[in-house]
Amino acid sequence: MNCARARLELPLLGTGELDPRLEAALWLHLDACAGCRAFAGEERALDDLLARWPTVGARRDISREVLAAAGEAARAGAAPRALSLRRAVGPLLAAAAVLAAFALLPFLRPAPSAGERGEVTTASVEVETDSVPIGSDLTGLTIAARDPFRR
Amino acid sequence: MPARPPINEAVRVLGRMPPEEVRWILRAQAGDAEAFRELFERYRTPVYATIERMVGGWYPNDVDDFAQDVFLKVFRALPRFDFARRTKFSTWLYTFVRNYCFDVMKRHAVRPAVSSLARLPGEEGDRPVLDPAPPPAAAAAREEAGEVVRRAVQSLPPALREVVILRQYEGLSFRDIGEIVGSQEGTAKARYHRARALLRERLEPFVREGALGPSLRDREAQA
Repeated sequence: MNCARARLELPLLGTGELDPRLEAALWLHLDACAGCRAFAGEERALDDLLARWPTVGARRDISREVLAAAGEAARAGAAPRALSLRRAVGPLLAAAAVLAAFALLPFLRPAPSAGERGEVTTASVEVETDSVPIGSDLTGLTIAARDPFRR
Repeated sequence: MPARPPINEAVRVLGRMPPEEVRWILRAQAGDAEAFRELFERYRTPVYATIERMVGGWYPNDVDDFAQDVFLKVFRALPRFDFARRTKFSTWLYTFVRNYCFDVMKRHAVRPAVSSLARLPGEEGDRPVLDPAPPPAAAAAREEAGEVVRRAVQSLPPALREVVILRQYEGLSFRDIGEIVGSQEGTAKARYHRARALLRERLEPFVREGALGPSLRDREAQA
């Protein structure tokens, strides 16, 4: 083990987070290396210093708000799921609507057009053009310009 | 669909969690208010302390509100806590705390500044960090040892500060810290090492004279 590795692993010494073989190697290195032993001493001093940063702690009790909201969230997440009328009846309503649509389908079909009946007409013809002004009558046919943005 | 971890992994994680905590979580997930209270009581102090250490230097009067927000988020998300994900509850909880603190820092970031110290080689990029200057009120406070330490830790780049706080003050393992901050265990360890090097640099006079000596306040009183 070299010094860089030893110093990296040092915070794990004695915490149980190190592999036992690695921990043994680290102890061996510390025994042999005065520089790393001095480093370990500085680290301990730094730990002692860092431990002097206290926290102020809570200024007000937040438990009432937190637990009230938690209770609401729990009720919203569990109880309404079982009791919701919409959840229970919704699928039935959807199925009924589909069946009704199928039942009404024959009555909703449009009446056959003149063309479908085999009659010839002189109805207006829609011509696709961008150059002809709307309403121009060039050939006796009614021309309607097509809106290029309409599909 | 992502593959679920094997059941023995989940059992192993359950083994790392206190059994009563597992019971509280299951009961809270079923809507038991008393279980929420137990979880809250167990974690209120560490959550509060972590928030205070992360962002309390800039917003000392808002820490209560921040802690309340975090617990609300956690409890609302609790039904989604999944034991099969191999995450300990404490790790999951600290992830909320950490993300919340980073949101606070982003939302309230004042005078973003990037310095050579604030950038981790190869991983920080151009992400701005908070100016290490403490707020005027805190700067006016007496320079006792705790205050010196607070300023030194809070002057660290956020990516280093969070690792120091989670390790030094919350006593979490590097494995858990890696999960919380979204990095590998080795990365968390390397950041901690780097953070301590910076702290040693900044606190050198205090470390050299011996942290177990009289505090600055004591010395001031003696003077």
